[in-house]
Amino acid sequence: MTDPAPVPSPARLRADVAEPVHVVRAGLVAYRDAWDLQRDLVDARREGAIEDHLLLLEHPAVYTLGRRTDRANVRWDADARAAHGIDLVEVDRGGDVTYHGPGQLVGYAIVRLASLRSVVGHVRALEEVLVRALQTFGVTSHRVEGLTGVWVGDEKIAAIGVRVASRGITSHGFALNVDPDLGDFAGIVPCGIADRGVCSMRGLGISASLDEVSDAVARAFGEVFGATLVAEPAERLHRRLARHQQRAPAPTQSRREATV
Amino acid sequence: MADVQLPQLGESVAEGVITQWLVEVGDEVAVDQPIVEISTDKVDTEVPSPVAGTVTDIRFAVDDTVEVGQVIAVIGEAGTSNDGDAGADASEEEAPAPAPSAPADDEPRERPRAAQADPEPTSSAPGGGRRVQASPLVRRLLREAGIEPADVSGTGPAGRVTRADAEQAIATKDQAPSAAPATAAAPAAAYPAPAPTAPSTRERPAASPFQVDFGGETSVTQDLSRIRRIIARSMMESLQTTAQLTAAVEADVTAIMNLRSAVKDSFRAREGASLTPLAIIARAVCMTLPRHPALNSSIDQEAGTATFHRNVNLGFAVDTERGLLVPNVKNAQDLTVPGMARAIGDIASKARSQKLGPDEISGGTFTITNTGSMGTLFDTPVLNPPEVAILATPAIEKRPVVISDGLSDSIAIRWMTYLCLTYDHRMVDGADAARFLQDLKFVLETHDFAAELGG
Repeated sequence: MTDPAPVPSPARLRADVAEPVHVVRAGLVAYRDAWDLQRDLVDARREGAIEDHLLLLEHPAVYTLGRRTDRANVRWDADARAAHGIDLVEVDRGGDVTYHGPGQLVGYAIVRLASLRSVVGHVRALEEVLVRALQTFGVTSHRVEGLTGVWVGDEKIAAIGVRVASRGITSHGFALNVDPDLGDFAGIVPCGIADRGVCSMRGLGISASLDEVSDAVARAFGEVFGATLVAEPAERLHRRLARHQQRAPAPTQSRREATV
Repeated sequence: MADVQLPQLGESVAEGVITQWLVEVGDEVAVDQPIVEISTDKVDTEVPSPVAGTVTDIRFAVDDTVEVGQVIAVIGEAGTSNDGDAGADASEEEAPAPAPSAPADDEPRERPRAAQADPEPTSSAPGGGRRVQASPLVRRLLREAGIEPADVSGTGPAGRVTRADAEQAIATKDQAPSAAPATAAAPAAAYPAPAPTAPSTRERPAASPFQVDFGGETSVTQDLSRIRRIIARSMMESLQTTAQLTAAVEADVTAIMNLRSAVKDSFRAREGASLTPLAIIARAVCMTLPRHPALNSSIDQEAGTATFHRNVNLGFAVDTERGLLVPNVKNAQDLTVPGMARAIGDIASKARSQKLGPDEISGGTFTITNTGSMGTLFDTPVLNPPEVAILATPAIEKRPVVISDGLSDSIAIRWMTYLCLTYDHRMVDGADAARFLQDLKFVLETHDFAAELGG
């Protein structure tokens, strides 16, 4: 079976394609806090307590390791990391080691997939979102067969890593280099790919604020995922989750803590 | 016993790597409980168990590469639970979160036919926490004795009502028959009987099995149970994503009813299944559908394609304690009436005892909903996408009808029923629906089913 369009149609991506996507702009959030938030969102989404969400935020500097990360891809030892003020967190997503830091737009998509058949299609769709968003700033980017992410020439401008929990609920997502300290990437082999570099929008001569890029990304997300966008203040999301957790029993699945 | 296969995670994805097992051999798992994580192309995906049971085999190790469709684990029957009634009904016992559910392979989207999966019973208890722990067998024993499981004090773990408790309760009740609610005999004739034609033994139909404890309030608001939410969502989806409408014809099924009453006892003795009108109508549907392929198809508007099915996987809507289920009989076109009767009896009892396999609730191509079993006169059923047609078979009743023999008309008492077909107008036009219904009516009114029943 060949799929002529690598990006599935919205109806194949989202189980509840008629529902809106709630866009939360959370600002600067510590990685672990955002991770907890995502897990709460996944639980709530699974229960049907909330609709699909897109979180847009920034992290303080951190290296994150996917479960299958080769530790050799972290070049800096603990002292070197401390000197650069970079944290290290092991997370429950696919993909290899990744850097997050200020100046990088991180997007987490909590989406109920129409089918497990769309798992990889979801990754292609996230790539498409970023390609479209970058296009609005005049940046022509593309996919590379076999190398997930978004590339400008031979350099990676956005990394992607996704987790799909039971009932097809996605979490994690993408990290788009708007204006990060590219020097921080020196401490790792990004995504385990040694022979390719990273780049940023700023490095390509685009001076756009994170807010402006967020606007473009949210718009493109709405297009690709076929969703009306609803802006959701972060405080309201927290209140809603708190209400949900009061009502719902403790999550049945054990939460695996993998922080190192 | 269910094989867990590596699901297809994308159209062009042929394999995945096992990154983590979340269970071990011997573990009890609930339906939809994640059992393994698979990594593909920067995505880690939890693969859920399609059924409740015990993990009996794990076929691959972490970091193994597995092809789509390969069996990676096997889930067997749930082990006997240790609640004290592990005797004759051990096979009826269920794990705490019972019930097979949706096919695990590619369908995280929940549908009503998968609706009995409810791994968190406490969150969905109707009637404000009066939910009772008891096996399906115990529930059935109590139901047959007219006892609410909630009225029985359980002595098992967490107040579970064991078989011994049930038998005790039934024995106690039999000694005090005056408490039985079903003795609604006609009251003493101090005033005229309400309906002169009603036989004096007429019993009031059962109340809804779902009841609300108002606790003195004028209204009670509860969270929807998970099943309710799933049904609500998929029903809305069906109505919002298809162009469905209903057409009906009236059919004279006198010949079928006469044949049935002539052979039903010998049929039951020989086949071990009831010869129901539904089995005959289902057989007639299978004799009719191949002549009308548009009704045994599915439509993908996004892709601009229609898929026609040579075989008939005939779904039957089953009302169960936990909600609506729609298991289907595979290759129903090959079944004669006795085979159909057995197959229907088989999936219905599996649905009610929560023993359906994942393949029995997926892959249907056409559905019959037998609303006549509850006496409904007329019905507009809701499609079960991606199917494009569903037939309701409402009540079969004796009615006075005009019979024409070519010379004159007369009024006769005949067994009559309506055949109500909801169809997706995107795929099926009104004339197609009418042609199918007329063909089905013709088969029902003229085909000699006696040959299949062996007299």
